[in-house]
Amino acid sequence: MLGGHVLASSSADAYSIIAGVDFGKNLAIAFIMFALGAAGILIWQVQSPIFHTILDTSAFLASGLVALLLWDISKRTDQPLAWFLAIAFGVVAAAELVHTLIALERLSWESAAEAEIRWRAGTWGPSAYVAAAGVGAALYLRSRPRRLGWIFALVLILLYAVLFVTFQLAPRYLLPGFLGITRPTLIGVPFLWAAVALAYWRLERSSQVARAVAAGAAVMTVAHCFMLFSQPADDPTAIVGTGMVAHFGKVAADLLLLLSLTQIGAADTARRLRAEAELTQLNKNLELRIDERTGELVAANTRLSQALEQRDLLLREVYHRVKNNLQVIDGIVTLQSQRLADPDAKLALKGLRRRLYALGLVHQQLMSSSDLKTFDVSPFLKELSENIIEGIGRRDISLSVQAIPLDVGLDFAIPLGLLVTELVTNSLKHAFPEGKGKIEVVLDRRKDGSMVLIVSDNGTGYDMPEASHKEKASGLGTTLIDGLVSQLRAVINVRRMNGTISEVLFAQDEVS
Amino acid sequence: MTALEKAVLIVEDEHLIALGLSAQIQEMGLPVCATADTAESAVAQARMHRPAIILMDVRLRGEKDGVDAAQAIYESVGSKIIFITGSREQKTIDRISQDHAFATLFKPVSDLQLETKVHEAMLAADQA
Repeated sequence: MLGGHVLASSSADAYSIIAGVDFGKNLAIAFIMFALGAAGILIWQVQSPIFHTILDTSAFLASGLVALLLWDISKRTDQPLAWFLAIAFGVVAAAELVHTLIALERLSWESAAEAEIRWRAGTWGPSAYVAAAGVGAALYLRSRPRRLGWIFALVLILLYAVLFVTFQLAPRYLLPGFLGITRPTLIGVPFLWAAVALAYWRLERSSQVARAVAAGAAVMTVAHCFMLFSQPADDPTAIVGTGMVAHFGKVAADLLLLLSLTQIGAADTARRLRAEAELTQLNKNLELRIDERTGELVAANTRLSQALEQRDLLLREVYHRVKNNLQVIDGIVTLQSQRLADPDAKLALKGLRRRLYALGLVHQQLMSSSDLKTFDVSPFLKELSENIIEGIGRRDISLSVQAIPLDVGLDFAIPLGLLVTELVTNSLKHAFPEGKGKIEVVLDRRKDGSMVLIVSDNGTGYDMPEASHKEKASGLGTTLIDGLVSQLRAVINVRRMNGTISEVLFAQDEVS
Repeated sequence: MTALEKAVLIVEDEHLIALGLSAQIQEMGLPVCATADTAESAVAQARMHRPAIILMDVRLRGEKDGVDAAQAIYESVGSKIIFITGSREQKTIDRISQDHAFATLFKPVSDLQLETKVHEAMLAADQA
């Protein structure tokens, strides 16, 4: 049972900070009140049955109130200790009620003086022992299930009954003996309360209720010491009032407990209110921070999208400028061509314009693409090939372009466009001396994922005798084709079989 | 409205491109009546020469652009206007489509595209 509460001591520091109840001050108030009362009683030798009854009634009422308060605390905070204490104080309150009622003249069948001795003196002891034992036992039951409470109550009542009988059999007052003690049967009570005070102080440092009980038990200890010297009022040797001092002390202890328990409740409420206020403030701060952060994020977002818009604008402008410059060059070449008489030179310039067109077309496609970085190669190849065939003015040659949809970037599209330009131009130049023919451009993905470009025609091929005149032009074309193929990390196979088939195989990851 | 001249006005702020286009038009066997590089001079030249066809760039020198010039020319002269634009932005295309464009070509313009549209425009001008 001791082991179960090792953890409690570690939070002792936290306890002293959050307590909200000053037990030391309460204890001082109780002792001062007790001392003043005791002094008054002893000096004026107060020993009236009425005062006695008033104190007994006060003790009963105070114990009952303590029991109810503890019960309330146990429900509110789910503390088993408060629950078992509530039961102990409940039984004690009942025992004190018996002690109060039993000596009343109306309820007694004996004379007032006899009742005073037999019943009043005879029932003080049982309730005093039951109180100390019950409060002490509650500490050791504090980690047990609450349902044991009823058994605990029964045991306390049984204990009271046994003590009741025992005290009826034992003598109430003796002649002053050891240290002048007149009531040796009560000698265990102050020792029990002292043990209870110590145990509560040491074992339950973290519990406010335990602190309150420890303080109360300390007052009880002193109060019950006085009882050891009480004597019947009519005894000439009696120190008049010791019994009343003990009664008054018991009431003071009960009041101390009441005060502390009430303060604990108030402190709990105050703490909860403060916590709620802090929570509200925390929530407010959190909301504020969220608002701030949201604002920052929105601002950052706006900045980013502005930067992005700026970038798009700049890229478009650059593509536009590049395209315009190509157009300017095209214009110059056209002008130059107009001033030339040599048909070969004109042809060469026409070839140059075709290549410029391929470059311009790439930039045009980029400008109109959504991300300004890539575009679909399929319409590009179609437009490019059509332009070459149209440009040469051979409407009797049909063209078919079949390209899979594929997003490509500038680095791939430029050499690819130039390569297709050269290959289609070659077919046009060499394949169809009699006009009429068919050119096919295919861009496809092979089974292993790599790309393949096929440009084929159904013409007569390169090996025409009249081609020797145009060796120079085709020489440039071949040089370009070789260079572009190697730039594209590809290999080219040219086969002649019912025409010419140029097959360009790209390396597996060499796309876009 | 009197008949229009069988000639082409070229509106283009890049002088060398204008020259290149002129050469192409002349190779087709059509005369180029004038070139202009601002919207204002385009309108003035169009009113003066009354050409059947105008090749119109969208971006021009000055505040007004080819679309503005085309609007004014359409109302006062009635030439067939072929837009030649470097931009494929939707904004530009939308503006052109509000106008009375005969055709829209995107740079780079191939010889054949240009020739086809010019011939079509000339046929349409003859019929009008």
